[in-house]
Amino acid sequence: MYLYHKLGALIILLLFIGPGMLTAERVGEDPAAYVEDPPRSEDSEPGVKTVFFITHADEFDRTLGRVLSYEDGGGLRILRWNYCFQPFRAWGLYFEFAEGWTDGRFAGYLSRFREEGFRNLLYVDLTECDHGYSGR
Amino acid sequence: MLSQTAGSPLDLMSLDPWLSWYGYLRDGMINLTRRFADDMDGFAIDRLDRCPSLQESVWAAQLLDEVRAASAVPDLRYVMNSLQDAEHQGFLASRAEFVGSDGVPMGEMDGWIARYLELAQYASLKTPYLVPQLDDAAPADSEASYRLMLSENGFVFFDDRELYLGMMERIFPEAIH
Repeated sequence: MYLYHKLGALIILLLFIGPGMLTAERVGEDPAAYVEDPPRSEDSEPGVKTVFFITHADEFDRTLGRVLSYEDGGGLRILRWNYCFQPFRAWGLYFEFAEGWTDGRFAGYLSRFREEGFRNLLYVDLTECDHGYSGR
Repeated sequence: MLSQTAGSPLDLMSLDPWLSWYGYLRDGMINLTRRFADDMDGFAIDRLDRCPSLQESVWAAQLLDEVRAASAVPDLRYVMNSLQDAEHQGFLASRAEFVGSDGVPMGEMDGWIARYLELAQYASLKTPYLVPQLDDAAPADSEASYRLMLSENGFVFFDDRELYLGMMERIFPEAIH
């Protein structure tokens, strides 16, 4: 009988803590559980300089042509990534457009960058927020 | 909210899934993928060095996974700025296309490069990007920093503002076609 009580208590304990143990929400969980062993590097070539371009949608018309004049070769590798800080620059309006921007206008900019071989990334700051918003 | 940065209008926010900031970010990011699914590739995630604890970093990973799972963008990419050392945030770097940091002071370059090289081994692209600390008011110093970083290492992030494109053209004149 004592054994049954102990077994019952153990099952109840597992029912309570078991699901939590399977989530990422517990302090002290081993982050290694989130990642496999790092793969070997395959993209580094000795002597080759890698240059990423960071761009700004609001600078688009003035500078894109100059960025596009750079090409791979001669010991240089160019990677084109378009970081869209604008129009998400104002923290207080985190996911809202600045005045004058619409979905259609913004999609048009993104599409143009795509046509030129860029990949488009929208900027998000995960850990900081404008005091005006966070205090709401 | 965890704390307020002294003298700054920015607050350091908790990513606790039970608090409002987590839901605000998750819903906002997912919404963006639905509105711009045909034209965006992912998110540039910044300020992960501000995660003040392992728990906050784990919550950040959970958030990124939730957004990716619900994303309307196939194969949603993350690139991540400002990560901490691999031993603390390698599991976050493993979710990234590439990792890096902006504004590395030249005096600290050696240490940062070693740390980011290690961290980048977890990302898809094994080359981290770093950019020297730039000073628009002292372009000669900024250009010297770029040259030093490129002479010592093979990766850098260039800004497309006029000031910095001019530096790029002086440093790599042979690359212009």
